[in-house]
Amino acid sequence: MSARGVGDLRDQVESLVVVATGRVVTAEDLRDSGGSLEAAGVNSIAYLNLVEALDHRYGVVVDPERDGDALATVDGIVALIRSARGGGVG
Amino acid sequence: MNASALYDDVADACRRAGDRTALGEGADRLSYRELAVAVAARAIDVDEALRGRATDRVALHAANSVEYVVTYLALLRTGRVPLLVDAEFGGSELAAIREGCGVEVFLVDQPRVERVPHAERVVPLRGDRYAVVTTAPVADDPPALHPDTAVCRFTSGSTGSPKCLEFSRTAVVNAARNWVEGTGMTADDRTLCLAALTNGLAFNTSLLSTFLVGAELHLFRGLPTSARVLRAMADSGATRLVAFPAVYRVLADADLPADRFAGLAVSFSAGAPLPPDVRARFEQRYSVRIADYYGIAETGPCTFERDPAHRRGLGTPLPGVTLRITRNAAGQQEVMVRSSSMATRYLNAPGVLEAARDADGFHPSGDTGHWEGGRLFVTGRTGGPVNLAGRKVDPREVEQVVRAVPGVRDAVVFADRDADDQVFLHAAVAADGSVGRTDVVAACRGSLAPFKVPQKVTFVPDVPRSSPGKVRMTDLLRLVRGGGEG
Repeated sequence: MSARGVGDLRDQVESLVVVATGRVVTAEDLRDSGGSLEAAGVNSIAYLNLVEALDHRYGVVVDPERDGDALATVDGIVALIRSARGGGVG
Repeated sequence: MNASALYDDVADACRRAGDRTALGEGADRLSYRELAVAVAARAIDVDEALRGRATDRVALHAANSVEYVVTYLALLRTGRVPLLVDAEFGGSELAAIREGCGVEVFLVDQPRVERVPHAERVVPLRGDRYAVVTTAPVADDPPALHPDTAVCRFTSGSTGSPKCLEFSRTAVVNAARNWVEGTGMTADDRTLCLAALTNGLAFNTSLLSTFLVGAELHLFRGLPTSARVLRAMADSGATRLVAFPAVYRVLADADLPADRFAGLAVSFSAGAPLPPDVRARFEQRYSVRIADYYGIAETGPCTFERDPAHRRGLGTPLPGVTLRITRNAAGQQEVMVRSSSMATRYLNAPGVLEAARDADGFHPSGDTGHWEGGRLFVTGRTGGPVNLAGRKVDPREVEQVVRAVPGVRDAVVFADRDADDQVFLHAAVAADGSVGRTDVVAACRGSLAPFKVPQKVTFVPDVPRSSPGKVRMTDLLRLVRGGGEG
């Protein structure tokens, strides 16, 4: 995946997180927290929304028990999506 | 004695139901006979771990699981009163419970051992998944439990820390019996409960009520994603689903095969209002009725809609419950409740619960509402705790943590609504320039349950207050809407 592709995907994931929080947590909040969702104040309802959105949007079925560490950060979620896509750019 | 007497009710059920399944979690099953054996073994282990340490109360702090239920029942069997502590509570809440309730012994699952404040001794129980943690003695004399108390649970309130509700054996049994009778629960029911057993929704609808009729309780832990709920439905063969509105919203929006829901006779929603569009989408998609249940921590289950054809309101009072609407001091029409399953008092707030009741013993629910066609309708809150998707949060508890952040001069935490009209916690903070949003969030994460962490932090020059110090909310909202930072 090109650097631009990764950047685009990261932007998409940030947008997904923002929408999952009802637009209460902003992309800037996420960046200020170093990409950590918990540090940005993302709560369990937003996590639930996010997991469902990952399924709907990318077809990535996330198991929060198994994938909890990956779900904790924007980079981790990007990696989950890339892994599910076999590393390709969608 | 009341705790062990409450266990006797479960032990009777175990003898009657024998080899029927009592508990399930995923593919695991425990029959009533096996449950009784497991409880007896755990009780011996608890007694052994507490040898030489006299205590009449133990805080149980763990996630939902079969072992949680076994451990809860074992505490009852030993005659010690279990205080059921939310698995998400953090160090601040646990410290307040230890000091305010005089709890010097915690029974926790392994991930939570480190959270126990002032721990002096950790004794792992057989299986190593749970441990008994004894703490240093509490400085003040612990408040005495009421002689009738069998179980304690917690609720948020106006005291700045979780309030501990004391329930007698009679109250707990009545709550279960009222639910069984009011909802027509039978031995053939299999309840899949997605709520934590520390919550009144789960405690009253799923735990003792299940055992009294010899039915099955299926437990769930972790995030209730649509895929995981679907798997749990298949594993349990559930006839009843108990969940918060947020779960129904997720299921309503997911494109799941409707035939997986075919075994469900009814589902129950409580804790927060269920949006009509969510109900309509869920029921249309899966052909399963969502019955609203209205309950209050201090009084137990209150109403249930028995008539499948009736689609509005929160139903009619359950057996043993009397409701009335009265005008409160603020001129609001408040729902008042008297029930046979009421809490006796707050262990850590003496006199507060008793003083709140009116002359006829009715408890103010904190909800505004009215009657219509014989049904209860709840229209809002009178104030007090914020309802976050079924979890109650006392804003003052969060404010205390935020104000303790170095550099923060003042802070107010209040309920706000996001773009999807969901309630969230918003912190308005007056601080010097060195304090950032991440500092506030980190402080809250460090000592409070995750659901109490404000999702939005807005920095304001000063919190507008009237001369007696009361927050001027209109001015504050104008400030935060007008483009503060954060």
